[in-house]
Amino acid sequence: MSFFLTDIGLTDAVRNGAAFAAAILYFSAFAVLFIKRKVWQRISNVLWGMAIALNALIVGNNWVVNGYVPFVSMYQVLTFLSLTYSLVYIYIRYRHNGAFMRPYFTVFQGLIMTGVFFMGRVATQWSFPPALQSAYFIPHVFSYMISYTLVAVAALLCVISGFLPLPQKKLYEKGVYELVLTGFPFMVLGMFLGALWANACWGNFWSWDIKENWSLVTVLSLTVYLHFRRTPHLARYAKWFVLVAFVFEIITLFFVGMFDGESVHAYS
Amino acid sequence: MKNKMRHTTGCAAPAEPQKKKHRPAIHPKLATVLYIILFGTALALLVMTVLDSAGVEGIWSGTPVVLVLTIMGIAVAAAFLAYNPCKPVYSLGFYILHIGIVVFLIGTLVYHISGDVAYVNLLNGESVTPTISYRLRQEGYREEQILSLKEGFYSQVYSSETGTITDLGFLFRVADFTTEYYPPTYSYTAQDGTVITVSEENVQTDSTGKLVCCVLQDGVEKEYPVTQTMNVKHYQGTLAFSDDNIRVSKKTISVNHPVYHGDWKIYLMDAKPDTFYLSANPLVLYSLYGQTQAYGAEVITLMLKKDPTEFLSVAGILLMIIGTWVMCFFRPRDRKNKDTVRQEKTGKEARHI
Repeated sequence: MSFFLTDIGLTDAVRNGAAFAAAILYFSAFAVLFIKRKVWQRISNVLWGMAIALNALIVGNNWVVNGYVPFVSMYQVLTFLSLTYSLVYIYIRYRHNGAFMRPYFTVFQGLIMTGVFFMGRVATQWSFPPALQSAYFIPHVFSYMISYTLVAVAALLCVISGFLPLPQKKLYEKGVYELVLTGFPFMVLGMFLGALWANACWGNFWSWDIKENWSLVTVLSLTVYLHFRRTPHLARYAKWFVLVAFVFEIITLFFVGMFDGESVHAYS
Repeated sequence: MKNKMRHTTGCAAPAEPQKKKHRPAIHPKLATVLYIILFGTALALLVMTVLDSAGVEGIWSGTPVVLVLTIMGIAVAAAFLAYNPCKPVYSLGFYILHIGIVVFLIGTLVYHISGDVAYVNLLNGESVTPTISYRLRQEGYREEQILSLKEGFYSQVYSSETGTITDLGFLFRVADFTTEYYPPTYSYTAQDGTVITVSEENVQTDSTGKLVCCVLQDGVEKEYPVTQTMNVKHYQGTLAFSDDNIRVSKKTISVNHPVYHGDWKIYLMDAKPDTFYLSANPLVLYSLYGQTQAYGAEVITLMLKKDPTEFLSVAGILLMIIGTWVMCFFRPRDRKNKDTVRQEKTGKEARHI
């Protein structure tokens, strides 16, 4: 029993093993999808389902250990983000006929679970600071997760559409538009819930904090994309802004801590 | 402007009923100009963000930001006026969102011009109460900036905009301030520099009263000094206000739950132990800098904010959220989207989306 469980949750060995297995399963599900036989599609479903189950196990464990939503460290956020891809895919699949996007969702899940190995994978009880004890916290973070998921896949579709013949290219470009159209409202929601929260906590809607600014330019890039594609003169430049938004998203998520100056978002 | 647009663009030509032409809601040339302004705004903010990230100081406090945002506000207002859709029912989101941007920018611009912010340090504890102190918004403390006034004086706030001291119009002090902590955590630094967490049972007190833990390394028991960390779980205090120096009203303040009094909104920012000194100034009781007798006390930092157009900013934000959601999720394409993918796969022309 002690091999699997400690007094607060799963042991490190089990969590790390589950994360590793989930990454392998996500990549396998991705690879198998390219074999166009029905039986392999079913195998992919099974592999994907197993990966999701392991991923959910880790997230559930982190949740129980924290006693709260697992958004403490980058490790917890990434495992949660990987799981979010499944939920978002299911929505896109049925709402926007997005079955052709499945490999791209799956490959991101695999990449994220691989990224988890380069993080400190500590699961300890969280000392939840007073500033974070707010009703805005969960919707703020979760909205951003959903939007980041969609923008990442949209950027990948953008790159791939550049190499495809015309009918498929149009399908992919439309896919990019659908994904951005779904992700953008969540990004705006996340940003403005953050602003309302900041007004309740720090007394300012906007502090020109380094993380806030990078997230603002991300939103603006997507805004430029949505506007440019409506105008004949500018439409051909539009999709570059999805790629730019993805680059800014990565900077906001991972690299803001490396810049000069203190961030009010430096909690974990 | 709106009429002119309507005249120049016009709806779909009735001469070709079988091939319905899509009429743009904004004249393409005007749209191009406005979208390039949007791109310029994004680029300007990106350049500022990159400079800020590179460590350049004072990027966001100057007029360039106000200028960029004002230009963007004017462009949004122009788009709002020039917008002329064929089916206005689907443009509800556009109107809500773009009016929200203008309302928010007006709200924040008025605050930028006429609002006021001050930080106040208060002490809790019998030995040094009641005192009221304040400091300037700028970084770096100087003695004259940190004053603790004697009881009976009206609370005053130094306005960083005008450089004068203004009366709040009411007296207030902090009472019954409590800090709740999480159970302490213990950690030690190993030889290779990694910080290792230890449970409370493994921590002992040595002969000098210091916290240590014993770790078995290569068969030898080694003793490491242990650091105890106490993280704050909750701050809460009661603010006692008096408008006429006779009657007192009390309000509870905590982080994320600011308190309104008069024109001011008061935020609890922080509370931590600090050292106070007796001041030589007859008006001033205590100061954070000085040479004479020192007092240790928990210093409670409050922020006072006067924002006459806060309701506009909040309304603008709510309109922007609602507008974006309506625009992105309630669209005409939703009703005719069923088999577009299959059609496109078969090579048929894509529908306008």
